[in-house]
Amino acid sequence: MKDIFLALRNIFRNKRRTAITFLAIISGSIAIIVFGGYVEYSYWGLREIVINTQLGHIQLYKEGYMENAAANPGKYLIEDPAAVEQAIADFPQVKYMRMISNRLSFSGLVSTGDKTLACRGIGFDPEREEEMSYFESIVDGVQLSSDMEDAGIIGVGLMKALGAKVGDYVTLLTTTLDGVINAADFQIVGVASTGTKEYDEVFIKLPSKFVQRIINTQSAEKIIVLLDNTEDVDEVVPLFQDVIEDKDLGLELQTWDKLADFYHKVVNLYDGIFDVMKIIIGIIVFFSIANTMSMSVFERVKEIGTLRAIGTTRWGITKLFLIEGVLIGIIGGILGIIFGIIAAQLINLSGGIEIMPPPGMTVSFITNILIVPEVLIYSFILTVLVSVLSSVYPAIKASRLKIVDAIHYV
Amino acid sequence: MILIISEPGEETREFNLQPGTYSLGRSDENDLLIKDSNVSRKHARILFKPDGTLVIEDLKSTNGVIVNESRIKGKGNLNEGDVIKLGETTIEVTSPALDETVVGVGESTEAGTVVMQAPHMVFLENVVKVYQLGKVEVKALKSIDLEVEEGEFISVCGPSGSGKSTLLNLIGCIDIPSSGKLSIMGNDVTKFSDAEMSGLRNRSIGFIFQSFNLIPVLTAFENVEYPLVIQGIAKNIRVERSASIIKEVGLEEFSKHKPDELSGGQRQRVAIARALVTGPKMVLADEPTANLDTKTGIEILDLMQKMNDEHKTTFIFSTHDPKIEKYAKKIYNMVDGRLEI
Repeated sequence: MKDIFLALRNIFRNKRRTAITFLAIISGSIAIIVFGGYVEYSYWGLREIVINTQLGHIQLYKEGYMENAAANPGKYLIEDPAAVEQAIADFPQVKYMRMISNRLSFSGLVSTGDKTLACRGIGFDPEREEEMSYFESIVDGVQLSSDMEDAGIIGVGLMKALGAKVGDYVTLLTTTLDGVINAADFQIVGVASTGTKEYDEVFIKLPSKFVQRIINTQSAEKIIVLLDNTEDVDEVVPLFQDVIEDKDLGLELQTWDKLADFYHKVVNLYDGIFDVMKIIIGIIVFFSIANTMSMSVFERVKEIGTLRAIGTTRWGITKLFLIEGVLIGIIGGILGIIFGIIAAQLINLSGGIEIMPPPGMTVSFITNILIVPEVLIYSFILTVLVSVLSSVYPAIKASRLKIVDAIHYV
Repeated sequence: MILIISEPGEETREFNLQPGTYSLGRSDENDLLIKDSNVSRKHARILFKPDGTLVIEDLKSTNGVIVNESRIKGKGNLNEGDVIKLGETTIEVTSPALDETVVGVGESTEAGTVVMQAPHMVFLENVVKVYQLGKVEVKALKSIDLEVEEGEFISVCGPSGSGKSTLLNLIGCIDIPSSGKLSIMGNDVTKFSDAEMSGLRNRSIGFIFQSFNLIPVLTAFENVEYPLVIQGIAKNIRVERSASIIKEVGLEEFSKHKPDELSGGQRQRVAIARALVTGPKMVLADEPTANLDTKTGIEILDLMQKMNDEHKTTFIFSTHDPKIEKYAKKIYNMVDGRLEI
């Protein structure tokens, strides 16, 4: 207790130097908290885009689909999607469900007559998937509605490549499930951007009925479920498994997490950048505190000599400086969190930061700073740890001073 | 009381106990370092109770504390002739009797051929101290012999650079001789570990420095109290003892002042109080008056003399001021690394 008391007094004896040390810690903490909060916000944004435009939270397929459908897509379709949807909707324990819909995808060629390009088509139910288009922006024309039959939305990249415009008729060429070549015309009613460049260059969205007709089936490829919140997934998945088992639906399911390759790649990239940043900040704070502590030892040589002369052991001296390091870390860490939160709030209040498009995205967006407890705790632990580590050498150096030389040091 | 410590694979050594608390164990931090691998890092504690009885306390050690072949539970009293066993190490409790061989004296003579005596407060024989100054060797002390007894008031005089400080540093256990025998209160301190030296300084030796050497962030009272904090003495006892010694040096009104708010004379009084608060056997003062005006210097020496009379504390001080040296009851002159009476 006495040691802590003495250490505190020593920390605040040279106020200007202590202020500079704390400034270094606070700057480091602000950088970690703001960048960490930005990264978390980006993860959240990207995740919600991917879920709400493409994947949904949970996808249901016919049993065996995940393993075999790549080779033989026609064999693993859900034959009566309406019945399955009904069964799930009827199951009393299934909760948090915001939307259920089915999709049928296909690959083919789209042609204006002058130009023919490869495309990936999705057949969906415009009425039910109104929710899913929230993150998709229509840059020209209108969104599909349930009364449109031979109409479709195409990606902005594909539109540009085709050189078509809204209102044009284009021909879709694909094969039926039996392998017969089939073609049909549809009218482009809208151009959409999802923000994902690769996706915008290939996708076409058409009413399910149109797609079922052109590939000659009544089945659906998958059933997509959107929940109220992404956090609910873990709770809902077992319920779905119960329904599948209970009603013997012969289905299997997959969550968005397993399907979102792109999301995970971005997360890994950003995590890597964040780690490098944390190390750099750690090193800066390390040297800043090590410098302070070394100066402090240097200034207090005579005192250290005196303390040793009146009976303080080497360990006693080491402990004194280590405690100073710990206290600098704790005080700095707390100040860092406070200032970090203030900085994050100021950025958010000023309307966020406009960020260049992240990898693979085409649109820049406004990002806010999420204040994440994990990041706050991390910045605190890092500060304390670095403070202690950077005090070790000065503390040992202090304890090894020769008493005789130290006492008479001027 | 003297402890005779026999560790396996080590030379038998003696440890002279002064009033206070001593920790025993394998860790460097202990007052009494026992390297025996069967001894716990913090094995036991030996302390003098206020009534003078000696107590040993087991600090939850792995192998326990065995006194006279029975393991003690918690605390146990120690008497003369008891044999303590910690791991493979045996510690005999004896009292310093006249026929007890004293480190320094005993080893320098053929046992049995000379009359033995109680341990000297300070005993130096043929002590040499050589400093390495760059590539040059400087012989600060050239063969010093010195005996100091309890209660003496001694001055060591001589011009600066004559080796006074070096001698006081050796006596004060903050430096070790290059060669020769050095025994402080019967302890051969050249064989002590850092923690043992620190413990001896803390309990038995007080220091007064030329430039006061107070801790600037602590008040006068806290500076005086600090040596007791190191000993781990309970707060109420610390406060009581510190307050009483501060009163003795006449600084009650200034006890809450920081050193930079005190005059030179007042600072040196704080230093004297700090040196005396643990009730040491000996106080060493290296040029205690050099940074003070003559009047204040004389006041400080008067105070030291008073403490010497009242507490029977041995005082050794160094000075280069002929006006001051006459205060001593015994004057040594230091000339060029040699001591003359």
